[in-house]
Amino acid sequence: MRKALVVFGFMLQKLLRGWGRIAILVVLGALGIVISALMRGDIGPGTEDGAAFLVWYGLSIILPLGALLVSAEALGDLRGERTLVYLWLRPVRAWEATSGAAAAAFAVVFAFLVVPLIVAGLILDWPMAGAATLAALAYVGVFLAFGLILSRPLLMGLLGILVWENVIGSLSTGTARLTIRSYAASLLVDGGVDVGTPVGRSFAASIAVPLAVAAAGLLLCAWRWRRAEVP
Amino acid sequence: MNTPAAPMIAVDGVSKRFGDLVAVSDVSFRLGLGVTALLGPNGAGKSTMLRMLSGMAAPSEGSVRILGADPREDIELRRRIGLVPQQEALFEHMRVSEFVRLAADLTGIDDAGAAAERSIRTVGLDPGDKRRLNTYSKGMRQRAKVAAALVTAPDVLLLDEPLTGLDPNQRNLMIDLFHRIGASGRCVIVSSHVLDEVQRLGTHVLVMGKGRLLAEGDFRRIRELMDDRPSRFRIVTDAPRALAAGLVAEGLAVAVEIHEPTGLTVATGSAGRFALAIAPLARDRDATVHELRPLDADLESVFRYLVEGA
Repeated sequence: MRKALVVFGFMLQKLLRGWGRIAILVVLGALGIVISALMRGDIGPGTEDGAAFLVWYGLSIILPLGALLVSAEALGDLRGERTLVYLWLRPVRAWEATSGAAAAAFAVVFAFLVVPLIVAGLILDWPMAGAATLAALAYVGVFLAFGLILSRPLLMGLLGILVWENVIGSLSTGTARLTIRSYAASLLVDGGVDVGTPVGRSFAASIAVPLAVAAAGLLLCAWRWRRAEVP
Repeated sequence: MNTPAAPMIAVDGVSKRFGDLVAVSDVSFRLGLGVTALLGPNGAGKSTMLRMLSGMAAPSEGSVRILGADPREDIELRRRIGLVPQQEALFEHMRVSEFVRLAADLTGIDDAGAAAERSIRTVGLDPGDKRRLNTYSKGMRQRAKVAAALVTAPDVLLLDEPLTGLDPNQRNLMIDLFHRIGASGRCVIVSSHVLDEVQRLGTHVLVMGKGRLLAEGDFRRIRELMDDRPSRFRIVTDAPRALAAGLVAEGLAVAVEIHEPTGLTVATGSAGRFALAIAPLARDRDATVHELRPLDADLESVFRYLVEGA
């Protein structure tokens, strides 16, 4: 646990040092709050349009994009820069390394994107905390694994967000089952509400599936950490 | 070089392939305490071998055992292995104290701060230096890597071209340091393609070329074993002709070149027999030998011979 905390501290420091990345997150988060405030003036609180905006902008765009920017570069950067060796050579277990890195990535995504989305939700009178937190967890898990496994994690992540989450997920109720945002959105609104993606998953599934995706991402990451040939 | 019954490093039939490329081919050796130089030209497979020894890469065939365990499977073993990788990249935003401290913290050392400070001083850097690593010279960066590898007081220290970029003074300090570590009951492997460095690192060498282990042992003995190529000696004497005649008559010289009036160069097929016979022979021939110097027992000669023959 102590070593996981060391990795967490190191990774958090590293992620916060990327000023460009942090600036993008701040702008995306702030934009959500500003747009929500403007929308509230037009459409009022608790409307379907407000929920649709939060699902589209929050769960489909800024959370996956932000999680990709942060998570794929957490361990992926080290792999690309060939500095992963300085962590890997130490007696750090795979779960300690990956959970430390994941916790740092989640902390950054939570602070810069989930919190602004919660504020945006409050403005539009929709409770975003659960949906945004669970979606962030799932996206962080998946994209952390992308960083350690794929040679171009950012590109592949962008394709994933565009094709998988947004195109495939919008085709039908069946295909929406394969996307993170559908489960997260189901926590926000009930079935029958049009928010741009099929919703109506059960409460249990809406919680369990994003958590399972996050866990699968972390397991994949840990497996890769153990088996990888370190550059 | 001491190779005890249970070697600290045991490599058996190890090969490493990257697709069609064979980086290391059927290499076996055992090492104990002390400093061993891993010598070979660029692309010989030295770095790949060190990566397998540290567990960073898995052998395609064969086995690697460090202190009796598999470095790839035994996580705790990493506490006892230090590696200075060849790549220059560091955590550029860190200070040297933070970089070495991170290594200590990740290893779980109790007084990590003090250990880091000691290690940094050992390599001649200042633990209080506030500059970031990205402002360091190449030599200082190398020393920072060595400090990070040393902070855990590893039993096995693997150094991949650690002297690259160091000025002569720093190089001397580092070579002395490696010898001190080797003498303190540790196994140290230092890779290099620079012959002068290797000669000063120690007499025990592993010579690699084209992925294969070409020779192992004391480089002077390796040279002696190459009996298909004569050893050459320069002799300074007051009677070069008489001594040359004696050497030929005794069958100790396959070629002699006389440099009147004070010397001769002798090529001999048996350096060991030559060394034993030269003094009595000089006495018999009333010759005084002022100097006897091997001309090609230097590592460069051994290296060139082995690698070109590989």
